[in-house]
Amino acid sequence: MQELKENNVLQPAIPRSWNEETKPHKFCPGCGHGIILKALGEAIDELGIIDQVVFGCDIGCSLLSWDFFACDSVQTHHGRTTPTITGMKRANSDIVGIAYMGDGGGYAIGSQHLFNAAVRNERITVILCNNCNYGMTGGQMAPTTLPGMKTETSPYGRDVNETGYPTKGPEMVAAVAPEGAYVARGSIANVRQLKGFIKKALENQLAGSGFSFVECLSSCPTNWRTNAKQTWEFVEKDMAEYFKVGELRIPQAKEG
Amino acid sequence: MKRVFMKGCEAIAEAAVRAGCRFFAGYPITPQNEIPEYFSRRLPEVGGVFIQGESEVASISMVYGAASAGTRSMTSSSSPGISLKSEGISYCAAARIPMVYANISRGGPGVGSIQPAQMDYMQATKASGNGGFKMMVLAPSTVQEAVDMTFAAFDYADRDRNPVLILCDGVIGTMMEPVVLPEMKSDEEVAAIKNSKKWAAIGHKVDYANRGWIQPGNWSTAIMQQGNEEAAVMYENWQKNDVQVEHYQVEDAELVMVAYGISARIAKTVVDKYRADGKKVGLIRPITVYPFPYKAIENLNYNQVKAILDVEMSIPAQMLEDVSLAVKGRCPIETCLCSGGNLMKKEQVMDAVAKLI
Ligand SMILES: Cc1ncc(C[n+]2csc(CCOP(=O)(O)OP(=O)(O)O)c2C)c(N)n1
Ligand code: SF4
Ligand SMILES: [Mg+2]
Repeated sequence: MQELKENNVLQPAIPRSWNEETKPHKFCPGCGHGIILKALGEAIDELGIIDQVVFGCDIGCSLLSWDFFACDSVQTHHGRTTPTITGMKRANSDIVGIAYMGDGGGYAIGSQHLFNAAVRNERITVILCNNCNYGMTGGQMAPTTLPGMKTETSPYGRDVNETGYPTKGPEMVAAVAPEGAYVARGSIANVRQLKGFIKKALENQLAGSGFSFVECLSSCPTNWRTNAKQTWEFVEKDMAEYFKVGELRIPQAKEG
Repeated sequence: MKRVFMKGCEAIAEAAVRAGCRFFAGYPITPQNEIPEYFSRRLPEVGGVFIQGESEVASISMVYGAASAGTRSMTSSSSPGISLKSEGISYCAAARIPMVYANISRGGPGVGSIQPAQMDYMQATKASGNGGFKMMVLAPSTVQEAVDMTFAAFDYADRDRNPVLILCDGVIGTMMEPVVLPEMKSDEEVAAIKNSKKWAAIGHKVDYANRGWIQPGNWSTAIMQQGNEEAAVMYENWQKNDVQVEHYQVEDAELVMVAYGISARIAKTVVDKYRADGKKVGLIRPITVYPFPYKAIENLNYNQVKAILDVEMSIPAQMLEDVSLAVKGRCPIETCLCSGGNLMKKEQVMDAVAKLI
């Protein structure tokens, strides 16, 4: 049951794990980061683990979330959130280590870390916001920029002959992570499903079964220069066409 | 006291474990492979964690994480690898995260050579990463000193919440000498050190009001400046309180050599040779190269000292700049140098001294 506040308006429920002092958050209007973090916050609430969480955020717009949650946090160098959280988790196995990053952080400058943490099956959770560009630095081409898509450094549209095709992160992680890993791609277009994926990822860490990775299709209307309708269409149609939403790796249920 | 015969790198690793280091991440590079190798055997025995990272960048980031969680943590590398670690070192300095790292340095620049050198002096003492931070830099000239410094480095790091560098040339790292190891800290002591770090990020159930927020930067430039000012005061205090320097036969010396690490050891034998002939030769050996012992050189009696000889395994000379700052033009400064992985020869130093007395 929820309390009706001013003017009989039903206030949207704020996850308990959020740090209310820092709300409203600092992302641009229409940004997908806040939606991903809401899904993450709800998953943390449902699992009741806020006291255990150490939240690591990469440089990128993800850094704007360093005080987003009411938990310990660590800001890391661009691309280094995965090894930083790895070190934390290994030094303190009873924490829940979450590494939050953008597509540039995870798939370009930090790809060696994502790949190798997956290979080692590190008991951490990596959540990656795929917004098809480098948001914080003003909209340059990212590993995930769609073919033909214009950005500040692909002004004629991404030329796949020169720059290759967009990185499919979950597919890569799923290919190299050992048994016990959880890998999924969700979207801000389906928050309920996204929350489910994130929750399973965290449960995978809690169970100690292996690496967990969730890529989230997200929006960046500021750099895409799109209105609300165009933004939504891009996330729901264009991105989802190339980046297939769903679970790629689910650990086998343990026998007995 | 029980003495054991140990290689420099292994002695450093053992000293770290005895100081309570329970986390090490590194990446292979010659001539320091014995450090990660030793840790990989030793840490599991004491409930610690060893990770071979996918690169130096990964290893320093892992150390940043483990140290941010309050665990005494260490990494090591050799010159080219240290360059890669610089981003993480800067982060540790910015977020005031204590950790210890060793540079078992080799010939440079570039991939250089795998032989010993002292060519990372400037990088170690002036700018080990972006942003103008400083660290205490300890330069052992014996394996025993490497042991004692590594043990002490963890205390300095925790005292200051700052990284500490063991700047060790490849000779000290790879040679074997008898050493007395420090007493092993008990599990209780190690746990107490970890628990005393109230700022650590370990899940805030411990203390909600003081959430562990590890911040290597800030949106507020005022807060940034305040942090930099506090750090600057700390650096000045090192200059007042933490300088370590050895004076060897300096009292009546007319020629004073300045050398650190393995070069100082060679210079010392040269002092002994000349002293046997009644020649007034002495040595000033910086033990901390940061804070540099400017006073020791500044306060020499320049009516008596005719010349200074800067001895280092680097071309061009690097420590020379610090020596010059202290001499202030009051006597000539000559150099005796080699580099690229060539070891300083006693004969070369003998000749250089002969020209000045
Ligand atoms: C070593 C380093 N290189 C470059 C940068 C500049 N930089 C800051 S954020 C960023 C890109 C962020 O893009 P992404 O990871 O996709 O995150 P987003 O902002 O899109 O969420 C870059 C290149 C930096 N801070 N550090
Ligand atoms: S620039 Fe893009 S990713 Fe960054 S806050 Fe704005 S909308 Fe979000
Ligand atoms: Mg991005």
